[in-house]
Amino acid sequence: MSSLEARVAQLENIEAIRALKVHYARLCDDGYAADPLAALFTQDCLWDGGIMGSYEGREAVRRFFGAATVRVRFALHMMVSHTIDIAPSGTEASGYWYLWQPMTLDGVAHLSAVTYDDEYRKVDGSWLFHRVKVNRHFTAPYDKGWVKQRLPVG
Amino acid sequence: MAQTLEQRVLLLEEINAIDRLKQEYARTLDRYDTGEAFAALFTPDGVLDIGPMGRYEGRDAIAGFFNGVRDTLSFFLHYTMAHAVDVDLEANTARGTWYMWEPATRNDEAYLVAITYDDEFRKVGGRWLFTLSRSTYHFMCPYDKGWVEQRLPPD
Repeated sequence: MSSLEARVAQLENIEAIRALKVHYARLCDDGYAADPLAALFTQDCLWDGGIMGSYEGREAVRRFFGAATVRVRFALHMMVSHTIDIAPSGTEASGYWYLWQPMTLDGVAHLSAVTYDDEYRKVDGSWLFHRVKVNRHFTAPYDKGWVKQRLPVG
Repeated sequence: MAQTLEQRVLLLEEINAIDRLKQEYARTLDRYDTGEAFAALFTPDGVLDIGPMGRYEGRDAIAGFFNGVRDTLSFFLHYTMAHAVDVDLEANTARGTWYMWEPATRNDEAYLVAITYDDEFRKVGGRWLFTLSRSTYHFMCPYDKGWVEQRLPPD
């Protein structure tokens, strides 16, 4: 592979991972459809949601997303400010993201601020989530703000 | 002037590299890294112009400002987005603008900050560095009040 081709492949990999994360956000916001969401993860994935729990393997992740709409009636995952690093192998990568998320949790307006530490794997030509770590800075009721109440009650 | 394929690829790489540097600026702040780590993102003669919070020239001044920031700001997240970057491939300089949205805790009170950046860069030894980061504060308002009632902090 020529050096120029390798450089273009690098840019394409970064764009593909950016598109993967944004697609994830859109699926969440459109009702957390469990099957399409689970398909974005490797079979031996890990979703580490901190206080939301940890889920190992694609089936556990599928069940988690399938139950999300019970408490979350509305969310907009504004997924921005990425830093994406592709490993020399070209089939592993890591990413860091900022998320700003207005949401309705248990019927109450909340604002969520999260950063992500992600690991990705390229499987059969497609990038998938392999590890997702959710750093929850706050999920605060809109009428209180994060100083008065950093995390939801219960 | 017609660009070669290599120049076209290089331009895409440089835009990506400059946004990555701006993200590193945000992340260095948000993890409360050292002032020295933050100042290292600037050239030795770089300038940090933070509107109402002052203007700092050179790495020592920049590091000093950053080390003092946590006295009043115990928490922030710099959501830095929507970049527009222009690169001069021949001169190895660039300019960039970003929108930045920032929830913060200032003197134990929730604040919302909205800034746009007008930054300048130079590529030195294969690495992009800031020569200037200039913040325009559109508001820095108490969360409870909003930006019409109180656009900037009273003190």
